[in-house]
Amino acid sequence: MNPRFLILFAAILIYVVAAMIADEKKEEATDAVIVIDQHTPRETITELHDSPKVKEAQKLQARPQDKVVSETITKELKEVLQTLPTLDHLKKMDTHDVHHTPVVLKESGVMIGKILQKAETDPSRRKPTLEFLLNCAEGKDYAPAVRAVCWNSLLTHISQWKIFFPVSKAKVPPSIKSLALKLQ
Amino acid sequence: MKHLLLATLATTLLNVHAAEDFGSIRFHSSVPELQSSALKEDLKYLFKTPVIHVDREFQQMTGLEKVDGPQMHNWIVNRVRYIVGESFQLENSILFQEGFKFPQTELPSLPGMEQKKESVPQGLSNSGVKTIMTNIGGALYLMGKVGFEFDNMVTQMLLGLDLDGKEVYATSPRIGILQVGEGLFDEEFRLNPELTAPSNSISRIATLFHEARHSDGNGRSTSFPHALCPMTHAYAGHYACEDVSNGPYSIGALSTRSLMLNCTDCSMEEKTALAVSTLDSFSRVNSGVNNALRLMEYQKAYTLYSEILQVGDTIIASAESEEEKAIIQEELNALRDYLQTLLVSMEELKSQLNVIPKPMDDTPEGEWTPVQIEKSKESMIKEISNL
Repeated sequence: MNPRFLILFAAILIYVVAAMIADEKKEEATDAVIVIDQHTPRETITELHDSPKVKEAQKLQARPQDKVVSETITKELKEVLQTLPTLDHLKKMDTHDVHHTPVVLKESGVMIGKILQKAETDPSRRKPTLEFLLNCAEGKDYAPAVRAVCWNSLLTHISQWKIFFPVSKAKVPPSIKSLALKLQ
Repeated sequence: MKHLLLATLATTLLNVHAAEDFGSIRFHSSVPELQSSALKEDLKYLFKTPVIHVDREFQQMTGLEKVDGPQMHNWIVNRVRYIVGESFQLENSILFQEGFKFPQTELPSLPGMEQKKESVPQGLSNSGVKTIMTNIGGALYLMGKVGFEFDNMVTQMLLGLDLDGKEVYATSPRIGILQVGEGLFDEEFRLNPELTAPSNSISRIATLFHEARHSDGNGRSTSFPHALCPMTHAYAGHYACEDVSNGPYSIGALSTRSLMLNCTDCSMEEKTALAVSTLDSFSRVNSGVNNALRLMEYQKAYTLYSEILQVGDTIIASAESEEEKAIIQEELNALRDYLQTLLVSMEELKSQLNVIPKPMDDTPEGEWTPVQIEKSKESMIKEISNL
């Protein structure tokens, strides 16, 4: 039998089983909600609302496509994080390549700019983008200039987008914060 | 007519054209048409750029009376008078002249600037790498001042270049001869696919400001040489840093920041890339904050290697042969030497924790003729109105 066909069949099977399990969970949670009516004592209603099954139902009742979009964005940003230039990368360059700003640094600036622009036009991307910027600023292996741009962009966009995002305990060293200030 | 057509075709094919002046800068015939056109657009952009946000740090460092296009352009043309191309043959164009009296000032600390016997200073020869931009005028001046060894005597010698039949001698670092290469115009160097997009112009202009700074200085600051990047720096081991606050990297950073802030046609991607470039340049200035971080790294390394040395005797005792003992002993000796080096560096850093790098005197030494603002402005207006 064709191996590709086997792989495709296995993938379809896994998807179907996963969908069935999800449906089952949804039914169980929905069952908990249906129980409540005008005859149900107040204590029971409170208990039910606080029950894990109800909480799970509420989660599932959130639009499933939002969860998928959020996961897609997070995955996309994680992939960009993996391509950011590292200190090791810069240390391996020769004198001629480092005399002026290396091309890889400029390219990373373009990538970060694209992410910011996308979040500017699509508010659903803003929180994951701030997460990305923090990860970038905290990443001790990344090039200092890139970390500092991420830190500056993070602080700027928290106020611009008016989103709460804690930064007081960010693991960003003073030298990076000081460098970031040079953009002000 | 036929001869004229053939000559035009030959010129186009060979990408050879006559020297030309543009905005008070002379473009050598070796600069390809595409590159000289792009640089002219860059100069026009600089001249015409509206400055709404004034960067005071940039103004202070450049000493501009007012931060506007004509003033920024004038700053450049007082430091960049000639631009040659990557194919320019230095060895075939170099000139020597005896009898010039160099100023009796110190020399800057430069690696490899010992007296050389070669007729062509090694540091200036085309080395085969892709050039971005180099200030060869400053290097020529310094090499002449360092002098050459003839018959066991060091003789200072004025160096110059034959530029399209014009003899240009480096009587000051302000002679302003820059060499540009394809690296400056490469697609991978661009922030926008369009060669003359504002962001690309800004990027190239910043490189121009950086190289122009090498035309300044006197004594120890002549040509503002770069410093060795320290051990924990991203560019450790390369001469790609500076110990002063007003060197080429600082000027390059500030010019990028200033132009970026005033760019109305730059996208978010382009501005972020320019921001990375700005901070990359700033990160090369060795400062107190960076020294504190370096000291921490050195202290960690010292502790680590000291712990190894402490168990040195135990390690040697476990050696199975005399040969192995010798290898281990050699390694331990090397670690001891390294610890000594670390100690010296750490003491130096401790004394520099509060250092805010100082500016060096940027007044150029030697003989040179300034370009007045009225002249440079007139030359640019003429070029712009010729369109």
